[in-house]
Amino acid sequence: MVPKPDDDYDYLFKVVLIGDSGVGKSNLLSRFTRNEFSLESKSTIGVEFATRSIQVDGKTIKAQIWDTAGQERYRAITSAYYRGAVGALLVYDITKQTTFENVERWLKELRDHADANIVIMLVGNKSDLRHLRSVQTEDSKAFCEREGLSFIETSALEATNVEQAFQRILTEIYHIVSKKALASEDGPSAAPSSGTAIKVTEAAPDAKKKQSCCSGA
Amino acid sequence: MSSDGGFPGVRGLFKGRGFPGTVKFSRKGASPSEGEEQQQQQQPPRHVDPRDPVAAGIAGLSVESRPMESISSTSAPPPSAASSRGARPSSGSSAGDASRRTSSADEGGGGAGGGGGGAQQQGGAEQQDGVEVTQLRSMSSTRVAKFMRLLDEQVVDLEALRELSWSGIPPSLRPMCWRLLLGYLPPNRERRMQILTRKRREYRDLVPDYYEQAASGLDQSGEELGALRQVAVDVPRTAPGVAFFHDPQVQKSLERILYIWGLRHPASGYVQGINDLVTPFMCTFMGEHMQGPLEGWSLDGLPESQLLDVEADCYWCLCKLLDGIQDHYTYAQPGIQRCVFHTQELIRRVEEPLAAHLEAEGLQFIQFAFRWVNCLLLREVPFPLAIRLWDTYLSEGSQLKDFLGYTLAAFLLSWSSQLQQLEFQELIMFLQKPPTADWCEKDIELVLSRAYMWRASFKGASSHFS
Ligand SMILES: Nc1nc2c(ncn2[C@@H]2O[C@H](COP(=O)(O)OP(=O)(O)OP(=O)(O)O)[C@@H](O)[C@H]2O)c(=O)[nH]1
Ligand SMILES: [Mg+2]
Repeated sequence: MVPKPDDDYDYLFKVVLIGDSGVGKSNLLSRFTRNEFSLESKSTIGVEFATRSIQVDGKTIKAQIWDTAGQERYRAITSAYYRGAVGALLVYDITKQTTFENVERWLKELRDHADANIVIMLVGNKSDLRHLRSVQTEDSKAFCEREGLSFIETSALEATNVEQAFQRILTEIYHIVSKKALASEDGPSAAPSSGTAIKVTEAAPDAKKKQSCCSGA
Repeated sequence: MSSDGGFPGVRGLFKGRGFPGTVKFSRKGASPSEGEEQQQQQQPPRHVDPRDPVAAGIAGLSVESRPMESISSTSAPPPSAASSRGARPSSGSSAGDASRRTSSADEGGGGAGGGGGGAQQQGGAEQQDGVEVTQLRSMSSTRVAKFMRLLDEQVVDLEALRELSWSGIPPSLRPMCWRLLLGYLPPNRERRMQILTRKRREYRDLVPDYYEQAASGLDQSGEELGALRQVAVDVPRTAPGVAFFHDPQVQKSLERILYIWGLRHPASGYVQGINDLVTPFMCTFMGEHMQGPLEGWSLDGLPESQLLDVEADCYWCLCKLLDGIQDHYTYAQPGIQRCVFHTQELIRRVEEPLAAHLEAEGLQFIQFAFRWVNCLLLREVPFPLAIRLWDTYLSEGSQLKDFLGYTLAAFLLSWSSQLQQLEFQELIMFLQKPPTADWCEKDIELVLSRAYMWRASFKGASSHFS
């Protein structure tokens, strides 16, 4: 099958969106991939999937994003999707302290089920609700420094920092992957052995069809 | 709990403000600034008024169309495939259910099945010409009469009611039929009123015991608090396309139903998606007190006690429905996994090329069918059709669990050839939002009758599915 022009990319990264129910994961995704926001979106059952490509250093990076259900009950199902993910956006709601407290538990989920070197970014969403804020930016920053995570506050509603959040995590992943590709041999799991820096995701069967971008390059 | 479900103050913020891109509001009056692009959430374009007997009659028709016939007029299930694997042919009189339902459909007066097949690919055609509509009406009155006869009996013959209801219930009789089918009310007429009164009172007593205590913040455990929070997060996101569900009183009712159900079923607790499952009940039982089409319903002037009665009926009926599928919502959701597996096996048997294609693309059934099972396809079809689906589900009773796999497989095959052209990513995008926006009852009934036929043919040959 001839690859469609809009589906050409140099890198394909699988990213997961995790965090408590209602923090705005699905809206961050719809804002990023379709520039849409919905006040009464339906809850996510299991997982939902969307993609978007961006440019980094002149390379086309395609993000394959899996948006997961936030409720605890679904964890047995959703954790299967962590496998092969190279990035995770861990989202909490700046107006709901408990969603921030639960970040620890989500980190543990990732440690248990995701690749060890997954890039994690903490996202404090709903920054537009200033008067309802209950999680202070400083606290989150301090937490992220301790844990070695990057951090950003977003508003899916106002489209503040949404683009940046995805751009930053994808760039970070890109840098790691391309560095590893250069250093060739000693990169562990995520680093491709042959210097063809692509097959970062295993759950991306379409990658095999786009080998032009790696083997050809 | 605030009725805007844990997002206090959000709505107030929209006044006079603009937001980038598309901002969707489903509620009138919550719109952002002028000139902002604004989309009403998917209102099904073809709305069957659940209280309109004519529309009901139309629903009644495809219903009467015999499962076998509407199937054989489409390309779908290759009978040879079934028989070559040793399954019994479904048309034989030995095929229990099949023959029974076929014959019952026969007496409904014939020949109207012709319009049934193949319509679904065109997105539900409005091909009824004058003649056909006349036929529909007459058939509908025959059908209503049949229901009336059954319901008039001193002791309703539940088996007969199941058989008849399976193909769709006239809207005016739906509330009573559902109560009977679910076993919420007894078949014996004399005891009915008394039991209804008792159950409604019983529910009212549950409210202070379970809900009010928790909602007031008195001695609830962390778990209960978590449950209440989850319910509160989901209630405002329930059936966002249906204005009626944004009524604060309706939301309060929903919140109580879901919270109490969760507490009383600790094996699973409340699980997201169960909120969706209440909505057909809510519309049907509320419909007994409302006039006109669903879009215009208003609770103004409805006495509180009637609202509570509706709420109680919804609660008990939800209990009955979920009793049969509890393991869909317990840890790791084994019932759903089984059902998805069953669906996959069925596709392998009836449509091998599609199964092979999905596998080659690396698509797993669980990736798209999980939600289909979790919400019983309710999210995948326009809301009015969900009510039609419920007619069949509730008629299936204890067989529903088994029937679901067939239904899902039939649903998937609505797009078999299209799907075989798609790659992994396109597949998943397609299947997480199947194009059913302009489906009408006929389309859903085609799915149901296919499912019905497969079950009949696989019966006996399917023991390894369980
Ligand atoms: N004010 C405001 N509301 C938001 C924002 N993002 C999401 N919301 C609202 O928060 C609610 C939940 O958003 P979702 O995106 O459905 O949350 P989720 O994290 O996907 O939830 P689950 O699917 O249940 O895990 C919705 O009513 C959204 O409209 C935001 O940035 N600002
Ligand atoms: Mg979501």
